[in-house]
Amino acid sequence: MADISRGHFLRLGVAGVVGTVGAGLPAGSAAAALPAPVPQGDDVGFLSFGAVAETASAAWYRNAASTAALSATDRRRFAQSRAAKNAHIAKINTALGADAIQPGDFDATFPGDAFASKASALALGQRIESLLVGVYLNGAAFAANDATRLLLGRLLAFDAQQLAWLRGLGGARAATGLPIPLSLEQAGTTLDTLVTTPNFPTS
Amino acid sequence: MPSRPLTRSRRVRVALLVVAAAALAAPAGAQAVTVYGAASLTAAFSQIDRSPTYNFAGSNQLQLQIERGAPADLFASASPAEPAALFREGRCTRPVTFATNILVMVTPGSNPGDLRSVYGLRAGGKRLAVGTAGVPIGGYTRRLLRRMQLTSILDRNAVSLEPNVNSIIAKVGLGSADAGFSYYTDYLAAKSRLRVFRLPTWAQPPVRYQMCVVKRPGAHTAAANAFMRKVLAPNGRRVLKRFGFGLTPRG
Repeated sequence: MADISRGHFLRLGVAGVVGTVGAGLPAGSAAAALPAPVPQGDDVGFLSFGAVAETASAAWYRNAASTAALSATDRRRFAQSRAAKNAHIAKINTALGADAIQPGDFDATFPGDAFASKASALALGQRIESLLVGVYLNGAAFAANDATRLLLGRLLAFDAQQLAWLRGLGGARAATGLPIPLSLEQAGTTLDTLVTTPNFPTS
Repeated sequence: MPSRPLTRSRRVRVALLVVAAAALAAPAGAQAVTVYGAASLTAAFSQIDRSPTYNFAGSNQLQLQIERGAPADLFASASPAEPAALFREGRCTRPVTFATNILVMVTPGSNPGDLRSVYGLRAGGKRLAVGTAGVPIGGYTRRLLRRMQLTSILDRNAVSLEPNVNSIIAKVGLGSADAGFSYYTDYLAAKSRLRVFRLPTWAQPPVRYQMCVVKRPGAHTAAANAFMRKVLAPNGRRVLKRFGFGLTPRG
């Protein structure tokens, strides 16, 4: 095996970094080439849960973006996150096809004091992101369709970043443990406290 | 021109003409109207107006009957799909949403299957009453089960397929099934015989009732419109609410 000089080693390192960054640059064209999800069997459950929970999440970001207890910089970023969430809902709905969640199917309902302080607002935001991370993790592992698994993995990656960001804003230490996959039964119980069926008072 | 005095027979003829004219000019609501309604609307519609001739059944069956020329004047469906199809075919006016509902799981009052939640059906071996795939309650049930990743319960349990929600309620109420999926309003109508289990809100499909006036030769269109106005009027909405339906904002 040929010896590698220090200079050669450094050049290889730089080339590797440039290559990695470069690979990430044409994200648009790479995303366009991704296969379209064709949900099979239980895949619909992961995606449906995602669409409803993302609806609650988008509503949380909308409220957080106008919460005086949070800084202007944070509020701007919340508004950006909300736009991203809406884009994700559209992506999930495209995958769901006839099973898509329509605007107005669900309303997000938060406790009255949820946005009274920075701490309470961030706690709720983390709760919603944790649900999404747990269910997407489950889906990324067990969805039947490869392309659906990929979509769930991409959503997982995004929401894991959001969760870390919200934890940081709240002053929490960086997470040290690994996230746990959540079943729809587990996660649904929590999500049900945050959504209602419009025009149906008893729900 | 001098007027002639009216004889008795002429007065009678004039009176008959007046009566006939009055009958012709009678309000549209007085015409005999035939309403084809989803089975789940049986109790509420009968309370809103007792005068129409009603035909309550599964919405998909009613759609088929109307397509074959049945003498319906107004069609009220438990899902938008059936009236939308008739509208597309030019057989009815643009459908109007007038109520909403949610799905529940019901068991006999004694709960012989010892079920604690819908997830208990994963173990299998129970008798289930479920709407056929074509009827709205059956379609909604399958959609909810897909969302909850519980489609497999239709294979693991002995399923009897029912043509409408009334027969699901009857089957469960009589103890011929351990559980069934129905609308919340149908549970309310028979709650003395049933036990109810709420299903997750997040997995609920949007259950929307729509109605439209049927277009066919000889249809009592004015009377059908009058009936539709009754359903949408404050009193009609009060009745629907009393029977447990959700209401859409007044348009």
